[in-house]
Amino acid sequence: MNRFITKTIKYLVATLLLSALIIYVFIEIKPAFFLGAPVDYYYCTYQYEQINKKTGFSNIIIGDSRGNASVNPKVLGNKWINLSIPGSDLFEGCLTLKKYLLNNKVDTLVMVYGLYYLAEISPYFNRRTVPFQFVSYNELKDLEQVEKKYKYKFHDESVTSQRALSLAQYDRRLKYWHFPFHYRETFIDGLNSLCNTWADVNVAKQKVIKQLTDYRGYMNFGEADSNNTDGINGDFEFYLPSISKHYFDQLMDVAAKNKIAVYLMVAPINQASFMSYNKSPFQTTVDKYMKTLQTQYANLHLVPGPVCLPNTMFGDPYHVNKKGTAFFSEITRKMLDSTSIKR
Amino acid sequence: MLFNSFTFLLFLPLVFVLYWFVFKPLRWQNVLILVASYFFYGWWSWKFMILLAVSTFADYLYGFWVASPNRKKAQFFLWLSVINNLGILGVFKYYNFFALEFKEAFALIGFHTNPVLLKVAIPIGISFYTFHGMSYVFDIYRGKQKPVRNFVDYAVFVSFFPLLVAGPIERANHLLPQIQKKRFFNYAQAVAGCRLMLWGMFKKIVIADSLATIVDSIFNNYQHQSGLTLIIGAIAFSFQIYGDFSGYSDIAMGTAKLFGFELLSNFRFPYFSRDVAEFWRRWHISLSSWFRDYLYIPLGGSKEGKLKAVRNTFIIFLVSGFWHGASWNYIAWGFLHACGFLPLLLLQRNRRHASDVVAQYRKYPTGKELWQMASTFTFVTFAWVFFRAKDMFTAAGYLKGAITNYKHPKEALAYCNVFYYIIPLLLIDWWLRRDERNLSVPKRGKRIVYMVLALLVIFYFGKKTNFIYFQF
Repeated sequence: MNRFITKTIKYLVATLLLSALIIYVFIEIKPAFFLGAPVDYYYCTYQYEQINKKTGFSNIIIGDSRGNASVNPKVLGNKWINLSIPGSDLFEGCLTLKKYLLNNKVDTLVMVYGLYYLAEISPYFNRRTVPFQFVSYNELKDLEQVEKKYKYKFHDESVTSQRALSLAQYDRRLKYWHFPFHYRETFIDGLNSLCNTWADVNVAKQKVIKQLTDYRGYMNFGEADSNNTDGINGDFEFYLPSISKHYFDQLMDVAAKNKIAVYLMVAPINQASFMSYNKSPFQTTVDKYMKTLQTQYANLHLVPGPVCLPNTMFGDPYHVNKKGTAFFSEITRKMLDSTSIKR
Repeated sequence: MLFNSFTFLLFLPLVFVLYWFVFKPLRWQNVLILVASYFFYGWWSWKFMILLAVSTFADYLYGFWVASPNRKKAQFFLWLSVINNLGILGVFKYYNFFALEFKEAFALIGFHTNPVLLKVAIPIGISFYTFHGMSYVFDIYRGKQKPVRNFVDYAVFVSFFPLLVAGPIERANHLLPQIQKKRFFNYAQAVAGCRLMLWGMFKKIVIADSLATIVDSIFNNYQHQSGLTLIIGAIAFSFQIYGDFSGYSDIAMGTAKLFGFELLSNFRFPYFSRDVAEFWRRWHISLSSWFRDYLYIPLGGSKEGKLKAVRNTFIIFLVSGFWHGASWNYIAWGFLHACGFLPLLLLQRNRRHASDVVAQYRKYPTGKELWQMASTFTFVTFAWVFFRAKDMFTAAGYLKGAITNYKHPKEALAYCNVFYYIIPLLLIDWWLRRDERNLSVPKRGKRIVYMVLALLVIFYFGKKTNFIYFQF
């Protein structure tokens, strides 16, 4: 028995140490390949850098990838930058504003989100925000307190009991530190892309960085001329979950303290999606929520939506193409003009 | 609690240490296993733990009543036990299905009803533990088993945590004697158990879960995929479900070995079967043998004329399909297998490969064997589409697309990475095919092989996916 236990422990310790060493070495050398899809990593970390440095732009756009795709800051003026992070929601949005204010002054904030992202339906918090360490460890611990207050796990309302929540939080911390067993489920994919697609990834990285640099954070997602795919579930009943609401309130507080004009726009959807959305329970619940929001925040400039644009303005089911960007950026510019915001 | 979770990795060593070091007397070891098993089950839902306890206690009592020398009384209680067990299954697993089907049927004749539907999840493992209980009562009725006096022993038989939620479905005369006999720690058995667990984890976490991502993306968007992609998706699902379920069974058998138990085999390399009959002797063995012993043979099997054999074959396969889930596509899956099995039965060729394994004394299969294995696999994969699809409509659309959509065949290249997982699994299975319990790794490379397996498990760990068979 003792022999069995000793041997098993030795074996487990050796395996764990070896795996931790392998993970550490690989992440140190090539984080993009071993922390997520490589291009996503370059894309997100470029945006993180902009958020954390002094840029000199006093008007900012935040949002998810729809925010990146929908508004070209150059159309809005010389003081604008798009700080949207693909896959992010109101939690990252609030952090973006707080972090950006540490080095910059902000006059205007435009938020552009897809409805599902406002409703915390996105897998990317756990896939990108946590492993890419956009949040500091202390910010992650703050989030845990908020989760305890509202009694559910951010992005997973099925985790409600105290025990399950504590376990999930512990689990996430280990994921944050890239701990063996929690670091990533597709290590081999990373190895595979490192071996097979290094050259392609480098080309894609250069392209992404150039696009983001040249266009101040605007990303052209939709290369296609048109897309008529339905990306909406009309039966979905929209509501803003408590944690997202908490961070939205926090964002509005920060904005009020810093005298920032805040706009909230829902990202546009294509005609095919609008067919499912129009007069559906989804639309009813969104409209109802937007009315509540407007009553709650009198100083919030709300563009209830989503705006329906033709299929020809979409490159994929969720993101506008160049034509769509030009059109929606122009809508945004006019809206800002009409409210006499200095640009 | 899932085998592939961090919680289980903490739970198992704790129970192991308590079992061998603290609770040394047999009686206390059994109590510990029982408590651990209920904790394991209650981790998922403590409410359904009550259902498990009630079901266990009922079958424990039926065991005594069915043992009565008065055959009429025994028969009465046997039927009561069947009604009780099937009633539990019926309420929790099949009620909604029947309610909706009756609603549709009544609507066709002009009666519009609005049945009350149950809004509770199906209790995990319900099909497994009710079958444990039923086999115990049946065996007592047939005189093959005596009723167990000690309730703890019987409760351990029903709820032993390695097999509680997804089998293998044990037989009382196999597991109960092991529960009632003093167990001693056996180094070789424990090491074999650890290796089996590692191999099972590898099949589940590395193979099945990786394939699951690809399979899900293909099945969820089957309307937009080329025929070749759909074929790859179906093949990938065949290996996903195999890796998932046989991986679970290996972990269960390995865990049981750590506590001195030997469980029944559940898989014997089913994709090396040369016909459908052989496939069913190698796939989910504990379930197919359960149906054979407690349904097929009591109905007369194949001994009472061809018509009865046909009827019994359809009954057993349809029931087997329905056992998996309350949906028409599972029934269709069972029906297809019945159609594949029946010609072999009628031509009396169903026992051709009853005892041997392909290329038993050779390294490689012959051309004929390859052809037989490939055609059996093709048939099984075709049937799996019905099993995986969410309904009959989807299954039909999927198969139609696979056969008729020849547009954009190059898109399938993007999914060829499934073969990175399938080919190594097939090669390893081929190497091991003579004994599913003996992971015969060459001595020289043993440490490296196990280390690589463990590292791969660690690298792929963290994606908490349920085992497919948990839903049944």
